[in-house]
Amino acid sequence: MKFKSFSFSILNNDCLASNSTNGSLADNMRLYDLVSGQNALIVRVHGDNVRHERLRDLGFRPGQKLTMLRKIPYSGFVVEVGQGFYALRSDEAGLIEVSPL
Amino acid sequence: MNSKLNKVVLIGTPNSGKTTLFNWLTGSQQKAVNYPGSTVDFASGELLQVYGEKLEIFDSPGIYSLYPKTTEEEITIKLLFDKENEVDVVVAVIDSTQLPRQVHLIEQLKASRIQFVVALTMHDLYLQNNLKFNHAELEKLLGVRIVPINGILGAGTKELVAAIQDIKKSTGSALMPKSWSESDRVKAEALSAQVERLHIHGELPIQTITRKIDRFLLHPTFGLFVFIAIMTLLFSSIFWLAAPFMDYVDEFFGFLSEKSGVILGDGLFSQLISEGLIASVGAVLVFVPQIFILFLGITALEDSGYLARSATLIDGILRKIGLEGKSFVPLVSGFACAIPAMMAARNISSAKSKLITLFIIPFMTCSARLPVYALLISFLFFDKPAWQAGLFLTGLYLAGLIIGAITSFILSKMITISDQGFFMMELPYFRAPKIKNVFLSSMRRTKSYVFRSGPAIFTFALLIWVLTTFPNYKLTDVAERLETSYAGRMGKVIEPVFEPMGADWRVGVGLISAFAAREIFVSSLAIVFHVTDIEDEEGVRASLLSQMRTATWPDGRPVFTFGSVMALCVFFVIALQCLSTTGLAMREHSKTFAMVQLVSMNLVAYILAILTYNVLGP
Repeated sequence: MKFKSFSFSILNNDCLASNSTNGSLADNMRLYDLVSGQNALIVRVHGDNVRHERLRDLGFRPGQKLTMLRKIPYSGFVVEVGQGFYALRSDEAGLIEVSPL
Repeated sequence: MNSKLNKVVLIGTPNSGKTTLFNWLTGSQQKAVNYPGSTVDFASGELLQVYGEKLEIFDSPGIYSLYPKTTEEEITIKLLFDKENEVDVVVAVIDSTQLPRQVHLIEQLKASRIQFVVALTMHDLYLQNNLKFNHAELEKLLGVRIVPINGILGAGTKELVAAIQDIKKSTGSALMPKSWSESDRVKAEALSAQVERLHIHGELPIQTITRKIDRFLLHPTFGLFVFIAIMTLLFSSIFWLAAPFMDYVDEFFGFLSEKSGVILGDGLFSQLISEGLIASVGAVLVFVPQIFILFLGITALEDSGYLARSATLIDGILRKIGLEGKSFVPLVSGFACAIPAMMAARNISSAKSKLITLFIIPFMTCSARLPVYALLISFLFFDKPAWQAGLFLTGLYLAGLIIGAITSFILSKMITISDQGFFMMELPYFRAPKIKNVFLSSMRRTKSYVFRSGPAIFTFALLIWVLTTFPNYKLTDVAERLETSYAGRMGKVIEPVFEPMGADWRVGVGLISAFAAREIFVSSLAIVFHVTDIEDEEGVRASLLSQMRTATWPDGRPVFTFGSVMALCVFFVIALQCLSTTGLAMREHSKTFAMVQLVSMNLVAYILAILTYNVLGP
């Protein structure tokens, strides 16, 4: 568990770094970096077998457009992908690499 | 082939309309069946006669792919590839509006050589603005037979039955495809994109509406407010809506018991029937109205799409104490009865959250505690204003909740299960729930409760009757009979155990009897305190109260004091006195888990009750 949160904090830092360069390195942005109402394309889905496969099962396929709808305090994010709506925790939202539109 | 009904299994994602289709195909002729070796219920039923064919239809727990990620999904997969009891035809139930992202399931089914047909449900919603439905092209692209089903009228079910009949059972049996590689998935996703271009023509009105409603319902403050309002309504309805029906059941069995006693006359056989059997069946059935109403509420919320939102809203808060969004429904159900609550905990994906949820469910104040609280509160607040009693009752409910939260927090720090849990919740489109559907599903779930927990409750109730009746069953004085019974003797032998919490042997007998079902505490106290021959419940309580006030220890001290009754309250808030719950916990988790839960809860309850008694003064 410890290790996981550590690795996520690194991911966070990466994203912070990319944001600070004014979005020029937007290709390693993660889903949780999007602001409400922002559209993006799914670039890659990361994660262990279970999470990665389940995200793909749900329809998070690379190349697909998604919209960040809202952030739920303490819980996670609500996104719209294709024809569906989904709620994800920050952990899972961090597995989705996006390129903002 | 003709000797046995052909077995047809409906599979699909949780919100695909599987159960609605199942209800159309089978009508009300359905039952819950157990998959061998598991406690997961499948709904099964025979195809309605109007279709002119004989088929056995199964509804299965939702899956997203043939590669399961939760234990519930595993069960469905096992059923599909069961060698002993082969499935003849699979119906892949797919929501018409969500077809593109289900393409991988179709591809996996094709790879597994399962005989299947696709039922495209909610076609009416799809047609709302996608008037061009490319049926033939879609079938050609996917290489499967597709039958659209109207979500409101059920049109298309006849065509579906015809399609099922067309599929000839192949000679080879279905094989689980070895693996689903990244290249398989990429291929399926390319096909999915093609399907999207062919099938989806812009946004559906219902999608727009859902997005707008969610703007309110998932709002950080307003959404939470609505959540609390809806849950309060659901929670209170299991009391005020169910109460009259519970009274009817109670009165009916009271009447039956009395009349059978009169008809059969005196004697052991008469006692066995009237006091043993009928009363025990009554103990099972008295909670049925409440559980049915609870299921009605939960199913309606589930079908409308709100339940997924409520889990999303509460997930973050629950995670702080080691639970998760999916723990919420089981915990709410726990306020009616721990048994359906534990059954509802199955689809929690994280092993740790599931364990903690199962553990704390009995802390939720189930309805069997209510008669006990009513008695104890009327003793404590005898000549005080009613609002004080009400406030105290609320306090007892809150106490259970708070103790549950604390326990959960402690457990989450203690347990070091490596967690494979995830929270990716599909938020389905908002729809008005169909009354017939909600009713049929709730009926099935209630039946499943009766048949699953009924035998255990019945057996324990009967056992307690035996212990409180024998060996001196011939005595006509019931109080004396109880005092000299095995339970009475046991109570006296272990009186020293109960004494530290201020309870004498009579209360001890009540506490032991309560292990059959908590509410039996009241009736067994009534027997030990000679409160019999009174018809209505109010009368029993009033006369029991006056008996309680005058009851004394051999040395003349009163038995029931503020301290000792408060100690009883504490005991009932915490103790796990329901052996049927323990029986279910064994099946839902493990023997060790059930034993640890049983022993630790009762031990803590006992210690805190002693503490209460000694702090508040005898």
